[in-house]
Amino acid sequence: MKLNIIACVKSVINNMLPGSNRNTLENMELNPFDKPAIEMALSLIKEHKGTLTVLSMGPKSATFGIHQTIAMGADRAVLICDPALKESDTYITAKVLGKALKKLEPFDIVLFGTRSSDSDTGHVGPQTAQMLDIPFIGNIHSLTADQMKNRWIVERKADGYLEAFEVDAKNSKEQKNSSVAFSVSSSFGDSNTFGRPSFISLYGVERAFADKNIEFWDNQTLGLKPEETGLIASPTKIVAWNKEKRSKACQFIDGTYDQKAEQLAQKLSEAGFVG
Amino acid sequence: MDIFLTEKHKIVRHSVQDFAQKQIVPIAKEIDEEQRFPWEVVDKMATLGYLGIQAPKELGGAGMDTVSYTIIIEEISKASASLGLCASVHNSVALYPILAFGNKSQKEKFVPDLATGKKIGAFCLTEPNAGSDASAIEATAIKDENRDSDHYIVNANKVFVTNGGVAETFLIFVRTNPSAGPKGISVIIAEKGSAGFIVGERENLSGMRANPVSSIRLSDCKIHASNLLAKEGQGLKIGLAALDTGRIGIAAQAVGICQGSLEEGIKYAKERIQFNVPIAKHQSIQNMIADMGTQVESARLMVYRAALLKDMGKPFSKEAAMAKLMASETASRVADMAVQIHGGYGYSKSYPVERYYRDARITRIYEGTSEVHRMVIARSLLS
Ligand SMILES: Cc1cc2nc3c(=O)[nH]c(=O)nc-3n(C[C@H](O)[C@H](O)[C@H](O)COP(=O)(O)OP(=O)(O)OC[C@H]3O[C@@H](n4cnc5c(N)ncnc54)[C@H](O)[C@@H]3O)c2cc1C
Repeated sequence: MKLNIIACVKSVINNMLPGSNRNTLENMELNPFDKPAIEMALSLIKEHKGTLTVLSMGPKSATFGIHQTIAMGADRAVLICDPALKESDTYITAKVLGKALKKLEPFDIVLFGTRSSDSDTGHVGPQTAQMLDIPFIGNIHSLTADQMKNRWIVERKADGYLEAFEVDAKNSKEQKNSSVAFSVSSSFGDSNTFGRPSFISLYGVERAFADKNIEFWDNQTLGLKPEETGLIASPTKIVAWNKEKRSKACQFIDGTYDQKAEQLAQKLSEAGFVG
Repeated sequence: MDIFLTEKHKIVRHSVQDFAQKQIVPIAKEIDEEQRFPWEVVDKMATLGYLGIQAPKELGGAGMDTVSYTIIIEEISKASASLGLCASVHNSVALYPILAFGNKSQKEKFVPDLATGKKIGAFCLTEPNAGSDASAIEATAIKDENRDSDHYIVNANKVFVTNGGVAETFLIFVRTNPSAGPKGISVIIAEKGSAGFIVGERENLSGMRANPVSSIRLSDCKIHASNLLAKEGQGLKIGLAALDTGRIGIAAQAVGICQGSLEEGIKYAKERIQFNVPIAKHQSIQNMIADMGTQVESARLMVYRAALLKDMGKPFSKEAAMAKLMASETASRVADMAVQIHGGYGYSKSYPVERYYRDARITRIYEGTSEVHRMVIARSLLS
C-alpha cells in the first residue's frame, strides 16, 4: 500500500519585532503545530512507502518553513503565493487549499496541524476537508492501517476519553476521491508508537536546497480570479488586533512537597499545559 | 549581523539551535562536572551530519560551506563548548587535512567513517617540549630500509590531544628525517588499536571538561607507509593549512561562548532585584550589557568574514588569525562581565556563566596562543 500523503502547513512569525507585523525570512518558521503532521506523514511513508507533498499558502518569506519540511523529508513542496491572497481569512484559505488539493489528486491522506501559533483558529483543516467533501477527524495522535479491511484506525483524546475511529482507506484507482483528512495532535511526537520527534539534519538542509525546489503556484494556476480571494472575498474580517493586556498574579501553593506537587500538576492540567 | 546569511544558513542555525536546546543544554552542566563525554548526544550529532559538515556528500559528509560550519560550531559551543571543541577539532584539523592532502585511497579509507561520525578524529602536534614552536617536535617515524621498508616505526609522546580519549583516527606530527629540521616534519595517520599505540591520562582541565583531552603515546608503533599524508617533509605545510581552518572553528566557538554569556547576563540582569529594581536598571549593568553586545557582534562579523572569504576561494589566513585573536579575547572579557553581572552567584556552579568563564579562557591558548596570533598578523601586515 503505497501512500500519497499531502500535508498542509504554514510558516508563522516566531519573533515579532515591536510595532511591526512584517514577515521576513528573519522571523518566519514552520508553525510548530504542523511539525507533528510532517512527522506522522514521514513515519507512515517509512512504514508503507509512498510520497509526501507539502502544500502551503503564504507570502514569499514562507519558504523558510517549507524548506524546513523538505529538510525533514518531504518529497515535493508547493507554495501558493499571490499578492491577491493577502489577508485571506480561514474560509478563503480553505477554498484555495481545496482547489490546490484537487490539482494534486490522487492522494490518500491529507494531514493538517491542529492549529497555528499565530492565529489559532483551528478552522483550516476541517474547512478544507469540507471543500473537498471528505471526512475529517481532528487532533489524532495515532493512525494505523488495518490492511485486511483496508481501513485506517485512528485514535484521539478528547474530554478525558480515548476515542478510536475506523475510516475507509482509498481502495482503488477508480475511487479517486475517497481520501481522508486529519489534524495531528502535538502529542504525536511523544507517543512512542512512532519514536522521537526528528531533528533536521544537515543532509536534509542540503537536500532542501539542492535538488528539491519549491513549486510556486498562484491564483492563475488554480483558476481563481483576484476578487475571489484575499480580504475582499473573505467573509470574516479582522477589525481590531491589539495585544492583550495580561495581569500577572503569583499564586502560592501550600502543603507538604507531595501535596504541592499534586496541586501544581492539577493546576497545570486544568490550564491545559499538561495532560 | 545576518546581512550576508542566506535562507539556507538561517535554516542551518534554526535546526542546530533546536537540537542544542533540546539535547545539549539539559546535560551541559552535568557533563562538565562529571568530566563525561556524552556519547549518546555525540552519536546524534553524527547522524545529523555535524561531524562531516564540509566533507563531500560522496564520502558521507553534508557538503556544506564554511559559513554553515561556523554557525554550527557557534551554536553547539553556546550550549556546551566542550562539544563545540570536539566537533571543531574533528571537522577542521582531523578530517579536513585528509580531504585537502590525502590521496584517493586515503580519502576513501578514512573520510567516510569520520564524516559520518563512526570514528572520532584527533590532531596530535603538541608535545611536552613543543607547544607554540611546532618545529621543535621530537616524535619520529623512521623507515628501516633493511627490515621492512613498507612501514614506519613511530615513537611519539603527544600531549593535550583534544578528543584523545575517544578518537580512533589520529593525525600524528612526526620527524621522518630527524636531521632535516622543519623540513623533516611529516604527518602520519595512526589508528587506535595498533600495537604500541597508547592512550594516556586524561587531563584534569579547568574548562572543556567534557572533552577527554588526553596524552597519546606511540611506542615503536609500526604504521604502514600508505598512512603517510601527502609527502615526507610536508608536515608543517599541512599543519599550517589545518590551523588556518581550525582558527575559524575556534573563533566560532569563542563567539558561541560570548553569545551564551551575553544571553545569560541579560536574563539575570532582568531578574535580580537590588535596591528595589532589577539590576538591569542600574547604569553600570547597562554599560556592561552594551559592551558585551557590541563586542560579540564585532567578533562574529570578523569570524563570518573569514569564513565567507574561504568560501569565495580567496586568501583568508590573516583574516582567520584576526578573527581568532579577536573572538577569543572577546570571549574572555564577555564571560568575565557575565560573571560580574551575576555577582557571587556568577562565581558558583549554579549558573552557566561560571562554566563559560572557564571555557572561554582556553580559546586564547589553543590552536595558537594570542601572542602567536599577533606574531602571524604582524608579519602579514608588515610584509
Ligand atoms: C584543552 C586543550 C586542548 C588542546 N588540544 C590540542 C590538540 O588537539 N592538538 C594539539 O596538538 N595541541 C592541543 N593543545 C595544545 C595547545 O595547542 C598548546 O597548549 C598551545 O599551542 C600552546 O603551547 P604550550 O602550552 O606549550 O605553551 P608555550 O608555547 O610554552 O607558551 C607559553 C607562553 O609563551 C608564549 N610564547 C611562546 N612562544 C612565543 C613567542 N615566540 N613570542 C611570544 N610569546 C611566545 C605563549 O604565547 C604563551 O603565553 C590543547 C591544549 C589544551 C589546553
